[in-house]
Amino acid sequence: MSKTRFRVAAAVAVLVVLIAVGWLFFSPDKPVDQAGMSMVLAPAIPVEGQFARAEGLREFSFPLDHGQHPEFQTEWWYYTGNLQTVEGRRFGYELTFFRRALTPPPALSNGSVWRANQVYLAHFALSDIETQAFRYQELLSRGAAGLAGAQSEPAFEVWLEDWSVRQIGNNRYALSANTEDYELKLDLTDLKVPVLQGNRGYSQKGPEAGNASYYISQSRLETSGELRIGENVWDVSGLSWMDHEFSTSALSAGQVGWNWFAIQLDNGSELMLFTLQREDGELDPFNGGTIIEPDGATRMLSSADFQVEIRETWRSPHSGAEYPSEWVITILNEEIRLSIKPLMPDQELNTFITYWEGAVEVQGEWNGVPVNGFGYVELTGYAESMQGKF
Amino acid sequence: MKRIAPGRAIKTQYPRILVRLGWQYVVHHAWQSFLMVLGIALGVAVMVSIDLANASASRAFMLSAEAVTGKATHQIAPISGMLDESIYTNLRISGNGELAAPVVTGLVSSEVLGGAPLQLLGIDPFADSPFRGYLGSGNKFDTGALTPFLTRPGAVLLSAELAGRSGLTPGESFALNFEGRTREVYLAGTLAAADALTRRSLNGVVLADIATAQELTGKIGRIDRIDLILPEDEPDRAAALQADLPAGVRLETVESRNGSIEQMTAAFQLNLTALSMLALVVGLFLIYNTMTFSVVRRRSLFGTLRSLGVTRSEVFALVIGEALIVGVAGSLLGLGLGILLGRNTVGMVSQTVNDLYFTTTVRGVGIPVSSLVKGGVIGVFATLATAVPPAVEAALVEPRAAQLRSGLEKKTRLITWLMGLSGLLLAGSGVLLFQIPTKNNVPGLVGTVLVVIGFAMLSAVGMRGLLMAVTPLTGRLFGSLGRMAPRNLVSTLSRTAVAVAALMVAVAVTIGVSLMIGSFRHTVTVWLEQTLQGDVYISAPSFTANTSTISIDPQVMEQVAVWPGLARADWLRSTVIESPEGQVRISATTNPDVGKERLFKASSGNPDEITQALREGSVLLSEPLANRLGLTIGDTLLLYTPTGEKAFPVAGVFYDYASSEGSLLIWMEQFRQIWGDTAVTSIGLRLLPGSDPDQVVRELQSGLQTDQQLIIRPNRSLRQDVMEVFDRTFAITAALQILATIVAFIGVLSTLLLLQLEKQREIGVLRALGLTGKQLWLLVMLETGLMGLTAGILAAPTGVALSLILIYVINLRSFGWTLQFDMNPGAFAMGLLIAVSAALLAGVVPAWRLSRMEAAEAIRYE
Repeated sequence: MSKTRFRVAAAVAVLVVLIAVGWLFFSPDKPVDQAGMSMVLAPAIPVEGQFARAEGLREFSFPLDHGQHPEFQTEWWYYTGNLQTVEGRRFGYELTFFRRALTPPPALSNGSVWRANQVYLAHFALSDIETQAFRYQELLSRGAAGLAGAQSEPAFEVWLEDWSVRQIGNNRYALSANTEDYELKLDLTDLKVPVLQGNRGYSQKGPEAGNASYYISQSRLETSGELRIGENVWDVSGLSWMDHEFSTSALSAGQVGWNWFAIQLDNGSELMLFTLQREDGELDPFNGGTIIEPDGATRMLSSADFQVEIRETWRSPHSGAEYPSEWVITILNEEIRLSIKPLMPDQELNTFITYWEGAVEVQGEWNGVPVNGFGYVELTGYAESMQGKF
Repeated sequence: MKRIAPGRAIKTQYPRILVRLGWQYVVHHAWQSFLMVLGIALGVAVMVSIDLANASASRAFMLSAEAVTGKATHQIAPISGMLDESIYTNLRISGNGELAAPVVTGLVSSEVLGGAPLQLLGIDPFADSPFRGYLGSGNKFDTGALTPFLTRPGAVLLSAELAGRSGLTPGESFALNFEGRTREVYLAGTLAAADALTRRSLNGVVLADIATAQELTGKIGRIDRIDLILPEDEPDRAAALQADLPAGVRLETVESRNGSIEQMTAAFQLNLTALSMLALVVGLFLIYNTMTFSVVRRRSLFGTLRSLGVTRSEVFALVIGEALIVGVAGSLLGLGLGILLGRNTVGMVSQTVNDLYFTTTVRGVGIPVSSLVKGGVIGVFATLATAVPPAVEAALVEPRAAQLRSGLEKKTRLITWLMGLSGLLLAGSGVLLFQIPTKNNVPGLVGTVLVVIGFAMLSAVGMRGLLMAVTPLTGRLFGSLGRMAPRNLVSTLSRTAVAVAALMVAVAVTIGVSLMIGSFRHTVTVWLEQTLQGDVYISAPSFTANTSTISIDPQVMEQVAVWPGLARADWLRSTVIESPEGQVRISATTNPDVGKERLFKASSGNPDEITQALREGSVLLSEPLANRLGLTIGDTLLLYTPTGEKAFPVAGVFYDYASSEGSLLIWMEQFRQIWGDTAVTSIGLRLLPGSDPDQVVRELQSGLQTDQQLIIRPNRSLRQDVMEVFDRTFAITAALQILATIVAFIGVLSTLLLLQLEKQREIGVLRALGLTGKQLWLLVMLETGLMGLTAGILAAPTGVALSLILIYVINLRSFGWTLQFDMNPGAFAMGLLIAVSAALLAGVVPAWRLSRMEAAEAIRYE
């Protein structure tokens, strides 16, 4: 995995804590006020010294490593996917679980199972492409008392209250998330082996030792299941993508945000790319990516290996932020050129940190052969600069 | 009476001269005005102080409850004991817990924090903000405290004010007491509330993460309840949630939970209010008396005014205007005095409420403005209303010449009899009111007032009779003056009777209340002797004076069971369970002699048969509970149990004065089997013959191995403690009694002053005829002394009637207690003493003034 992606990860990790702190001060139906905001923006980041750090290659063992790694401060499980009904009606979804440790393990309990040193946060978003409706919700909980957690034994499971993903067989997972308004029940089957991003799952993010993360993906999860909006229920199918990353690290200066692309093509290949939004507008040397071949073989991409051109922008009516909304990605030295368009413009989450995370469609050429596909894109740092906040 | 339109008269027609007349009268009779103002002021003050105390107690309860319940609309609570924490997790995991928050609470105290009870509130901050928002927006809170708050065992948050007052700074550790055990806690940070209300609530709270609260209270795996916010427009949600809950768990509205607790104090507070109104009523007697008197004195003036073209409305307005001045001045003064008095009453009432009903953790709730407004408005309007009859009297004065007073006094004789008759009617209708079968207190209190007023109206007749009867005796003792004094009183009955009635009412209240308290005390003493048969009692420290519901360390039971020198140890488990009728106190006992150690109001057999019935699953109800639920032997009592509703046969109703909400007694084995609760809250020890209880207490205190601080006391000191609470409970009643007497005293003083001043001319003549100063003293003292004596004597039957009403109507209905009437002659002696000495004291000033006045000056006065 690239260093940039790592920073993204770290930034999100910090976000988890910030949101956790913020949540404590606001009920969801309360407007954000000045005093509360100042507290969200001025958190005390816990001491990192006693946590484990990613300091070199690691032997991964599955399904064990699908579970949590509490010795690291930050960890997340990130599910996105593009679905369609038999009639061709398209939907995109995002279900993300973040874990953040407040103190190194173990929790200092005197007997109560509520004693927690882990905080879990989850986002669940649904893009209804036909009606252009974007729905999202956020949950927060302690990682204790059975309210939220992640485990690999007896089977992998990550959950926050009634949102969960759990293993139900060999390479098979059940994803379930439910709000009053919408609901998703999916069956995911991993068609490839877990992708070890970066250097065999280890990604150095800066010159310092330990400034890195461990990063695993499941880049092609065949998906089928049920989707409910209001009273309407559809059978859906499609492809999902899972990212799982854990680390103990802080961000370096100079970044205001990031762009992340996860693309699944009809030729059986996937592409993961990220670029950093730098304050100075320069190309960040930590930009990077991975090409996953149909057989699961991977190729690392460094910042010099690709270009991302922005073709369109979209201004959010909610935050007023202007996001890129159309891209052309060119992989240099290979005949890969992909044009990427959001399936609908408004997929902005106005949670504690405002960001755009949405379903996209892809058209282009892959080694001279036309390809189509779908994917997910994450854009941060447009509504507000991440710089200086963590 | 359409001739009278005071409002319009004052606004549009009132000639300036009349305003000046009224003002001058008030000013020129400064003494008289001052006493009227004082009378009203005291009446209002007493009322306001009690209302303040009641309002403060209610507000303290409300804030204490709100500090814990927050914005919750419903609660999931166990029918007894605690909830399993998995109920909450399941609620969340099943997606039904969107607006739900788990709560672990406990009453704690800390020497460092002043020793008063505080609410340990264990919350899940991730779920709590919609409910309580202590960590919410607006409240200042150091986020650095968050990580230790969640992760460090023993970490708590306090309000910045409470921490500052106690000299604690974040990072410090201090000791916290919970149910007799000491725990070390750590101040992770402080909270500064955004508004005054939150600040008051917060000052009674020790905030902890739910994990910390579980660990501090030993409630591992259990929570007290789950708070919910359910939308009002979706009533089905509650039913659906309830359906999913396991047996033994109930969903109920917060109102019904808090309401039932507040209801318990309602009767107590209403009775205090009623008692405080008595002081005002006595004050109004004074106003009525003084106003009537001032009108009578000025009949000729009003006659002249009328012949000069002043209308009836204007005369009416003149008198009412004077009353208004007095009423406003008196009420204002009364509010000030009330606030001062309130400093004591608030403490006394909240002490009683805390002793008997619930522990409030919020103190210093401020002065409720509503009490002041209420007191002021009632003071002014009551004064005006009282002034209406004399004002009408004044308005009816015919132009030209005023009638002679003798004519008025002739009328008075008739009026006396009419008054007596209507007094009888009033008292009779009061008694009729008692017959209304209701649990509501209002008819009873109205009836009481009617009976008291009825007796007051009868006092004129009684006074006439008494004075006639006493004349020969005083004549023999004091000669002509001795005959003159009663005759004077009878001839001025229109004014003296009112004064005597006021004093009589006040003294009767004193007698009635002390007879009631005495009977109560006597009853409780007898009951304690019967009920407390153990030699030594062990319990855990509790914040209420009620039966403790705090569990004793199980290790203690093991040790006590094999303690040398004991004949027997009886376990008692007292707790609160749910029933279809609301919460019920229950006590489970192992005492094999329980049938013998209760006084039964109704029983299904002899003591042994009752104990046997108890063993077989029947229950015994305390009298207040039986009254409240309308149950008696042969009936069944429905209770919620962990396995559903269950009916329990009632085998007996026993007298019990431990709580006014009542309790029920069940056999321990039955209780444990049904509720699965093995805790013990009190141990009663029977010693082997010849053992010294004090010695055993000392041995237990030093020898029991436990980390829990226990209260171990011999029978005697437990009884003393109970009686101490009893006396504390009635301290406020006794204080009110004294205040009412003071108001009456002022009434008498004022009346006598007026009476004697009015007679200046007559006395001038007497002086001119050679009456010495000493004889004048004698005459005045005889007159006032006779009034006091009359009032004191008449107060005795009124007092007895009042105490009978208090005991058999008010108390029984309010609290469900039957008291044994105990006629203590001391009460009457005290009443008589108060009446006569008040009257004699009140005679001193006029006697002194009149005796110093020259005859010529006295005659010239008019």
